[in-house]
Amino acid sequence: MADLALLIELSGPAHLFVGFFLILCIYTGAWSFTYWISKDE
Amino acid sequence: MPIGNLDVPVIGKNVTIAVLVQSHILFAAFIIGAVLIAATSEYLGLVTKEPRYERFARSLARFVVLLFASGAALAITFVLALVTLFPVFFSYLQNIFFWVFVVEAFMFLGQIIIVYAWYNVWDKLAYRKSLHVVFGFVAGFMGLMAMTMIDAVASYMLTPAEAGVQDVARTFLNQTMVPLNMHRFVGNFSYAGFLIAGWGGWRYLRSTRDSDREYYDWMGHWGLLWGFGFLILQPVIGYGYMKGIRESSPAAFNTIMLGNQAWHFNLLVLLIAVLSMASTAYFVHKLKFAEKRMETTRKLAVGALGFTGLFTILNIIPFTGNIAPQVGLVFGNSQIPLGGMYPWKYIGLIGLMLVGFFVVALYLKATASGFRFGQASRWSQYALMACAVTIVFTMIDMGSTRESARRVDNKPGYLIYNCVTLDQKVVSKNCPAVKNGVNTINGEKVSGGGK
Repeated sequence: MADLALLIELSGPAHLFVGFFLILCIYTGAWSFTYWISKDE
Repeated sequence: MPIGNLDVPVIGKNVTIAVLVQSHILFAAFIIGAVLIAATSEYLGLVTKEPRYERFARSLARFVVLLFASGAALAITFVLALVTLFPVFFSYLQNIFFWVFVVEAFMFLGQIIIVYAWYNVWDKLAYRKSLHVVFGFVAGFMGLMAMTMIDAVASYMLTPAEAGVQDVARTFLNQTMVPLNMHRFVGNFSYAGFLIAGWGGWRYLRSTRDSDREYYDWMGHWGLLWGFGFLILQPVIGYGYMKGIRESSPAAFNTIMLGNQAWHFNLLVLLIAVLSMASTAYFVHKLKFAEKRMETTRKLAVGALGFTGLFTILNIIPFTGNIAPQVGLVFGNSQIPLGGMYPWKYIGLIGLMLVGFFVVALYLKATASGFRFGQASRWSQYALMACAVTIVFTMIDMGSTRESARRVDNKPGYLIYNCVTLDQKVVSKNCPAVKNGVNTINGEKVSGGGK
């Protein structure tokens, strides 16, 4: 039970970091793609 | 027929929605801001006959056209995810905001059509420039209207009006709708401006031709004027927004200002400190290259940089050492001197705004007589790039703050504050679609909420 409570408590920050990381991945990915298709025209 | 409770492995459904919406907003806000900045630049090109405005407007319009796909794809993916993961909540929102979503969809469609047409007829309407500029502004306006519609929904989720579902005026114009919309309207310009400035800085450092260096140096200056110029309006609008939250959802206000989510604001002031210092330092540097020698103006700007530093320090000092207990950032619970909201943070924020206005006024005065572009130092361009990165973090932090506010202590967390819980249960008689204690959508009895 104590392990579960600890897991729930830790999952908040872990989710935050994972979410933040995923946003940055999508964001930089889409910018890079747009840059790549727009250059050398 | 019961609806299955689907979940996403490892990250969970809340993170899935957050990631898709935040990523979408980062593109949507840029597109709205960039279209309006590009249309304004095109108009300025028409008035001043300076070719760089035209070059800038056209390249930005082209980039927006290309970037639109990413923003739109993320929006559709987000709606799909919402329907799949939160079907009850989504149908509930549809009941309350049906017409708002209809207008939103058509504004989005209109924006796409006009943006594409605007870029495509650039040469065709070269001799009817005034008409062409109107295309850009209409596209920007439609983007703003789409944003206004979704702001009604987003603000309602945090500060729902205690009104029936048919009372469109009260659900649409809920307590925080107007301040949120103002905050985002100004934010679009600031965010897009800083990103443009960062791009200008990056390209300036990579350019070897004098004409390109001159153009990208100007682009950095032009972007930063939009970025910082609109940023300094944000504290007062943000204060109005926070006041609205405090009045209608006090527990949510306490959570994000004093509770376990207050670290968002500590982080925010840190990010604003970077933006303010980097922008002011850039302005001070740039004043060296004014066509007309302005030693006094520059000295005043140096003074302004000092005051910016002072006020940002005042903003950064936390209330207590209990900064982010979730990750163990705790340095004691006693109150830190100068860390209180009243009067210190007010002095810090108002001071930052006043100094901001002062330094922008000085800079605009110098701009009127012109700058020698193409000679800026590397460090000034790094400052622009730092601003671009920082503004992205600021956007993510602010979005996360608003959405975390409904969690309060997570007992329970809400999707619509005090109405619909994270597990999609309607808990208050005061919610729309609840009549005489019965949820008119699914027929369940609702007992919470009093009256």
